[in-house]
Amino acid sequence: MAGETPGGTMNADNRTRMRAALKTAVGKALLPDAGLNHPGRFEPPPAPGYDLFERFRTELTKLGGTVHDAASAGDVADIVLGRLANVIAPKVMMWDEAHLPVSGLADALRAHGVQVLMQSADRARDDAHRAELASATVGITGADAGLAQTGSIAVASGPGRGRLASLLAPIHVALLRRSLMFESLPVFIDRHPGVVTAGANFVCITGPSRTADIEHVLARGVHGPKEIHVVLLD
Amino acid sequence: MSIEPATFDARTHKALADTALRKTLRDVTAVILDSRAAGLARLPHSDDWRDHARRIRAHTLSRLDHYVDQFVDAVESKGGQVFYAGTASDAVSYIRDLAIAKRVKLVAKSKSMVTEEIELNKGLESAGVRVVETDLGEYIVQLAQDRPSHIVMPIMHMTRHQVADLFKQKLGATDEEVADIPEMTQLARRVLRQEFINADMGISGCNFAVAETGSITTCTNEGNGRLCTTMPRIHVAVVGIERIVPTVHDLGVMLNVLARSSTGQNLTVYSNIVNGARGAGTERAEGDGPDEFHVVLVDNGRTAVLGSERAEILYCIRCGACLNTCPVFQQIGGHAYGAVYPGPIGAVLTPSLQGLEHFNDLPQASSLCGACKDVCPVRIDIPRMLLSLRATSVDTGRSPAWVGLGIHALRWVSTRPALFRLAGAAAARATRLLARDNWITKMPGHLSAWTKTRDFPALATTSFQERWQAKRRGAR
Amino acid sequence: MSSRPARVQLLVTCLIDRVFPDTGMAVVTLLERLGVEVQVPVGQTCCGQPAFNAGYVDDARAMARHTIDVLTKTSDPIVVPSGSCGDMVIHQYEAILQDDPVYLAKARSLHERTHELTKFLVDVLGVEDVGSASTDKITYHACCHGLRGLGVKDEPLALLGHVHGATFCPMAESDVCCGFGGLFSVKLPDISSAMLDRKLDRIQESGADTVVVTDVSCGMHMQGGLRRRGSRVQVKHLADVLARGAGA
Repeated sequence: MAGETPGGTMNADNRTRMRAALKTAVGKALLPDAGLNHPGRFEPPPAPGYDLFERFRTELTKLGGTVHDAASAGDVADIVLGRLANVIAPKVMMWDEAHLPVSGLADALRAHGVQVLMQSADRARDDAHRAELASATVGITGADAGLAQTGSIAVASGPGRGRLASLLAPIHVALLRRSLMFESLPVFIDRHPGVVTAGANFVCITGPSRTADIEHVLARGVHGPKEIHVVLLD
Repeated sequence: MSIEPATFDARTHKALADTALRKTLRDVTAVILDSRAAGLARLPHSDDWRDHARRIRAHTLSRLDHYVDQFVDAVESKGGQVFYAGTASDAVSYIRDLAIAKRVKLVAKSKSMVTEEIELNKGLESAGVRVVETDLGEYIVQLAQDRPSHIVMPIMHMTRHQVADLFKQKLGATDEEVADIPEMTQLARRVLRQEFINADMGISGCNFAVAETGSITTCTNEGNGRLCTTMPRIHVAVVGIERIVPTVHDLGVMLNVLARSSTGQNLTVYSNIVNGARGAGTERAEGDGPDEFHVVLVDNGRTAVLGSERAEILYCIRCGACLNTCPVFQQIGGHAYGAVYPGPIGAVLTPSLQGLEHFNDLPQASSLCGACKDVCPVRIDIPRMLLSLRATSVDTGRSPAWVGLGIHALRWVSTRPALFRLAGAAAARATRLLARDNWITKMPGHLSAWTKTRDFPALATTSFQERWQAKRRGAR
Repeated sequence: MSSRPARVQLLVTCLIDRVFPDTGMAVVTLLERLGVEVQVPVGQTCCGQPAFNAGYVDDARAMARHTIDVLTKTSDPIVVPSGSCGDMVIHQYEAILQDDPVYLAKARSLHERTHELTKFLVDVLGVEDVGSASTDKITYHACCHGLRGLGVKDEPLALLGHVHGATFCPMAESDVCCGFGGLFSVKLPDISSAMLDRKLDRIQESGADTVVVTDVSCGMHMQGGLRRRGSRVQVKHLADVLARGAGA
């Protein structure tokens, strides 16, 4: 494979040269406040007490997201169906149910005439499959954490729990176990660093897609979802 | 694409004459600065977070050789490929050759300053590869064949009407499709969605690369960063070597201060951590993601800066706060700097990376007010480094002769108090001749630049020290 | 400094010495009214900041050494009525004399005992009411080197707040640079003037008839611009205001 890889010899030469140059440079670098040792973990004083769920709700709502409470697959289905009311031949894209905190959601949706699309790893490069996934109105995923301070959810990818479900469709519905609510992203990373690298991708999603590039005026739903709904379940 | 106009002076002149631009700059920077203040105020102990972020950056650079090794090992151990690019053209060659070898016809790019620095798009297009910028602002810049004017808000210099006209002209948009900003955004979404689906290669930059895990992070608001690193079969991450942080815990600290400093948001909508390709053909194969993950580590002068007294500029996390707060930037905007990195950060970084001989004007474009240092999330002492660059300008003969003459004359008289007194008295007599009511409306020579817009004070006939001596003599 | 100094050395600064000597007299009047004896070390010229800011470090060093010689004839505390010259002496002298052990040591000793005027009044003497009076409508511009180099922030406002009879008119963007920047004002005059215009607009919006500064360099930039606009607003150094006694 090495012979086929572009940049082969140049890469090896550059690697040697750049590594040597870096070694020399760090020896004479003027770096104010550089300690010999890594500064360690940042331990902020404990946050003033606030209800994590209230804070999460407030923050996400401020960003234009919506927080729901649900107790069953049926509840979740109702929420999803609510967003599909005016859609002809509605489609949703969903994670494998093994990765969701409720079971029976796909059946509940199908019972109401919704087509449920699942990603296939084998068909990842199949244009027809991707086009079909892109036609879904809602993408349904789980979440590895809720982050109260910022109204965010953290989602690790994996087999059966792809990224496109939270990315392609204009509406994203994320199912979050209440037991997975944390104070903030740094706190979550400190407690569960392994989740960050569990899959090929880890994303912290904070509200719907947005831009202010044109005249600094806010517009939502640029490339990612225009709506994000987080459904809290026990 | 060469820069028009060609000189800093001409570009500044053009910017200062553009009243609409100056109003936009003032209004938008004021709003962003307020947002920044609010964003940091929402974070308890934000100063402590910033101090810690600074220490992380400083320490990492002090052992950058070790952390780069660790990062590369981690990427390669997970099947990723790393290319060491010593120069911009090394980086472009590698990516271009890769694109050709992998039969890439279309590249979807998310926003990345380093790719603009190395002029990647031009290199790919010359090989017949089409590149589409997917960040809305960068997409518009690309359509307009313009340049970004701010590192975070690329089209700060454009109005909605200009964007509407551009979409009509280049995309054949109808009036309805450009009726307002949400409509224009939806049009861009539709157009670019197809590009994401068709793209063979996604190219991203990297906000922070994590050494211990071999991960790269992109922080975006639109979702294009995620789409570029998910849909195409190849993902190339272009990473400046200084973008590394040691651990995921450090990443958490940096993310906590980046967005707040930049736009005032708590976090950008998508803090996206890429750990590698999707594992195609293995039992942990994911349903989406690239089949190949490549990291191009770019030096392009960074190591030389690291070994200099301006190493501190490498702490930068590209938040843009210094641009927003700089009273000079607020008057002239980003294009005037004529460089990929404008504003205070650019005034140090650009000459440091690309040579002071090409960018001698930039370190002069500052009143040294220090506002940049105040707002920098990692407290970079930009004024110190501007002064260092000015000293280098002088040492390499790039300071105008009249300035040198004036300064040497000042030094000569200032080290000889009797002469200082005489020179002062002579200057006082001269200015008194020109003055009316103690002020002068037209000074000669280079000082006429002052009196073009301001009166200049006449020197006092009797100096303070002379009065003081006289007072003391009288008292005896 | 635990006890109140009985005597100080005044580093009057070249601009006050040669352009605004009345301000120098005001500083003396003020300090003497507060019971502090003032001496003026002989042979003062220029601290070297213009050279340093322009990148002429050797020239700056020569001027620094001269100023250090002048100021180290005694070991009294030194008062300097300027944030920019103050920053030069207090911070930059050490930075530029790193390779000169003899003068570096002297610079360090100066660092300990040199005070910008308002910090001397408020932090060292512990005074905020200096017994001054005025009928001016005053606004305050925070000069950059004092503010960001020396942390001169609350002190001038505290002192102004105790000027009997004065009206305080807050100015928007009071901590935004006026555009002087030393040689910047003539090397990049168009940008400098644009920044000045903005500052003058804020001054005029404040409704004040007097702008108070802690640096005459910034002051003369703003006064020069105000005059050009035909404005009657006066720019005064804080010492000029404070020296006017309550009985005067």
